[in-house]
Amino acid sequence: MRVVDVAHLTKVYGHRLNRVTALNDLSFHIEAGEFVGIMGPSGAGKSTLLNMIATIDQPTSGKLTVAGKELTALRDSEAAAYRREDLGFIFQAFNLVPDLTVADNITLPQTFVPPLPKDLDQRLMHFANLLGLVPLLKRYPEQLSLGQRQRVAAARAMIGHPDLILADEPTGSLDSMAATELLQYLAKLNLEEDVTIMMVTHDAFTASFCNRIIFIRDGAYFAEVTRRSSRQAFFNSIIDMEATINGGDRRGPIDPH
Amino acid sequence: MGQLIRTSLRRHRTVNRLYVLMAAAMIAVLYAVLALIEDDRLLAHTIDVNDLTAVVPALLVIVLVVILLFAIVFLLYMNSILIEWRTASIRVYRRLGMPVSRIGLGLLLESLLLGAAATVLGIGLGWVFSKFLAMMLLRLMGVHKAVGLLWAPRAAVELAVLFLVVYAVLGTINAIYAGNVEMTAESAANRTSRIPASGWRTLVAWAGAVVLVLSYAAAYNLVHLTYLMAQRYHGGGVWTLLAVPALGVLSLYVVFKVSLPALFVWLMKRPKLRRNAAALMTVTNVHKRLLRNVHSLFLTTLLATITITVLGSGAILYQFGQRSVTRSVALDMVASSTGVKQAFSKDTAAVIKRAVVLPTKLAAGRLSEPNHATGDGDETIYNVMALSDYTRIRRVQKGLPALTLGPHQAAMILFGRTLYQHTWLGKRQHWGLTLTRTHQRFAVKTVTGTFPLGDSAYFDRALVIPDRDFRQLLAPADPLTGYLLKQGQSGQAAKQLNDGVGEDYVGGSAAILTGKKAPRVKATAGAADFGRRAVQFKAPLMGEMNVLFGMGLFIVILLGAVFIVATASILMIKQLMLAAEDHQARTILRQLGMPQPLEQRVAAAQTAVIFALPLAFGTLNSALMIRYLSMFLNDPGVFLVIVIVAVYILVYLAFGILTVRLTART
Repeated sequence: MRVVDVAHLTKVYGHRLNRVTALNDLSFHIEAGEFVGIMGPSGAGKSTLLNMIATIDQPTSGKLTVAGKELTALRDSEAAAYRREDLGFIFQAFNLVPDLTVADNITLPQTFVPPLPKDLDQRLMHFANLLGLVPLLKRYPEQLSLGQRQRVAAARAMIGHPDLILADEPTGSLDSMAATELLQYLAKLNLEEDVTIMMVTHDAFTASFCNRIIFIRDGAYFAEVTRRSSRQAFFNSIIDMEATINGGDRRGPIDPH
Repeated sequence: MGQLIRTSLRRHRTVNRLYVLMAAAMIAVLYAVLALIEDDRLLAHTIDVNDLTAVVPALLVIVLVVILLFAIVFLLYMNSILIEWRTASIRVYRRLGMPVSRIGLGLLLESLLLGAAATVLGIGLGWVFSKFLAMMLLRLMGVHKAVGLLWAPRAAVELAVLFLVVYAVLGTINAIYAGNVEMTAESAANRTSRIPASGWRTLVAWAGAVVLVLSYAAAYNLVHLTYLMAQRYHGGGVWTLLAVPALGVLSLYVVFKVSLPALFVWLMKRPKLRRNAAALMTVTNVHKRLLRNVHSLFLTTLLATITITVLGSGAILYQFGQRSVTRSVALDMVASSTGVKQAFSKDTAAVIKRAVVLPTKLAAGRLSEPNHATGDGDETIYNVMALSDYTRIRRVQKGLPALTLGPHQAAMILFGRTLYQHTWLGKRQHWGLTLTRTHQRFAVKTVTGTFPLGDSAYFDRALVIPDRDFRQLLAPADPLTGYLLKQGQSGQAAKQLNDGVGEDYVGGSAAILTGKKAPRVKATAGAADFGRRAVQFKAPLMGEMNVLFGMGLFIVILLGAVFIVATASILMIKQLMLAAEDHQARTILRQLGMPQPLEQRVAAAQTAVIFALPLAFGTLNSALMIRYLSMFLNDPGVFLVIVIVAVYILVYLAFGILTVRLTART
């Protein structure tokens, strides 16, 4: 089943004399249960794409469908409901509410609008167990390590059983150990809970935990790499592709000079 | 430098605009009062009204000084919270290597710019406001004179110079502050605002709340408590009067600092509340605001208490003045039997529309209380009247309370019945009254303060007894007559007769009070005699009262308006600053799918709680203070106080709505 379908997506910022094309006729799709990474150099349009899928920004043209919902046609209240029910979001800066406990941070999106899920407590304990957060539930975000904070954000993203989890540079604020730990948890979630994850990252090591990497450059689809064997081999192919994307245009003719 | 100031002004434009507007409002009031003081021709109208109004210019100067001091303290306070808010950006400038002198100069110039804007705007607004202020003063004092806008160049220049100096001082303070900002410290926004729960804190929270409730209970019974303590301990009354408000203020601070945050922490842990994002976010945000704004909330509560008390007392005095005239002389003219003889002529008869006669008998009486409580052994002269006559007078005298009496029961009417009122401490008194000459004994069923035809017609107290007992009472008669005069004739009749009217006296010797001799009305006074005016007119009394209390009301309205706006502004600006800090949290909630109406509901609820707290505590404190003061004024009525609290609530509501709207924009 296709969870994300991006078709000819274009986003242009600015006015007539000062136009910047952030996304340029971008098309791709993600199937259910995939763990997909989005990579590309700075300014490639990764964050713009993520904002579109999160309904924080609107495309200039093109079609964007997530879990069968045409996002460009959603009203404000419908977009809020979509973010609440169909989407889980893991941010680079964690975006936890500092005045709420870990438990309240995790359950918060589920309590925005009634009806309350009847099994909310069970869900909380399930994801707290899965992400090793049980002893931390009564603490406040500032009492946690950065890695623990990101795991809380992951549990919050998961608790609503969303169709898609968006992760925006989730390891960007973590040290390598905490980053590895979080990525292992995300891979575990993807495998055990069959959750579809779309992760934006700069880092090849982080990307190597995905099943497929889509590379974009200058707002357009550039190439993609799929994991077929070991993580090390996949990592190497990502590095190769990164070298290519930063060094030249793979799709165009090679300049002999 | 110019670029830096422009950026800073643009960055803080919402708060700066409010800051300038608040300061301009105060400068406007100051200009209007100063212009009024400097307008000698206008003030001459108020001085000429009567002897007492000669103090109007002096009173206006006192008001001016009070508002000026308040405005300077207000600006200092606002400046301190605004500069603290900017600490983070100052720290960044310092970390980037900007010289302290440059940052300081920027802050000084910025302060002067804001000051110049506030002064120009304030003087402009004051010029417009001056006409209304002058009109209000004249109308409240009963002077009907047309007034224009008051332009006083000297007042404008004086205020401009003064406030530029004040803003220069504020700018200098900010510059010194900027020089002392530590480059390594954490900003206030990032500081943790949580206080760990502990047994001690819970104990203090409970203690604060219990002491506050006890001090409220003591304040409610303050008159009786003071009397009780004065009887038991030497100097106990004075200490009680000092200790009750002091304990109240102290415990109120503990309630704001510890009890209320503890209550909200307790609420935050309720499972039902934690399953409702709007309620949880509201309680969490209020808790945060209680911790961060404890001093400003406490300060605004005290200011609200003072304002409502000052306004309420002013209103009560005004209402008391009007009521006391009516209580003193209930109809247009009231006369004793000698007064009727002195006043009655052809001219007087022509202006009388209606006359009512109240037959009374003069008798000495002694109060007794089985437990020797208040009033026991009290001996004085009573004008005794029949219940049917009292009820008949009620038809022409509005506000005279209804009475029902059984056999041998009586209603005592006295002026200043504070100690005779029933409260929690003073409800067990059972007074008996014996008429000392005839030995008739009555149980005092009711004590009121409203005399039929008005208290000025009586020597001391009145006693209402059943008709049968009245018929059996053998005592000298003292009939009183009340007159309703024809429309517009009252003032003229008073002018004609006032000079020729004499006084009545009745003996107050031990022989009369103990019943050995009967009390008789006479024209000459002895050393211990009770006296009254033989004829009393309502119109001249009402005229004097309006002038005197109108002047007082003008002053309290002016001070009250300044205080209300200042307290509400402090709350609003503090809330907007916290809203700016909460911006990121609101963005997170929106990204997580919180519907916008829910977000607005949270903002409205948290603002409502924060504005309601000082208002609720302030109103309660003022109600107790006004109640205490009003007990000495013999039931002056509370209608105007309710109006004032309603106005206060409306002003706070307007500021609250503005805060919610600006929060959404922040």
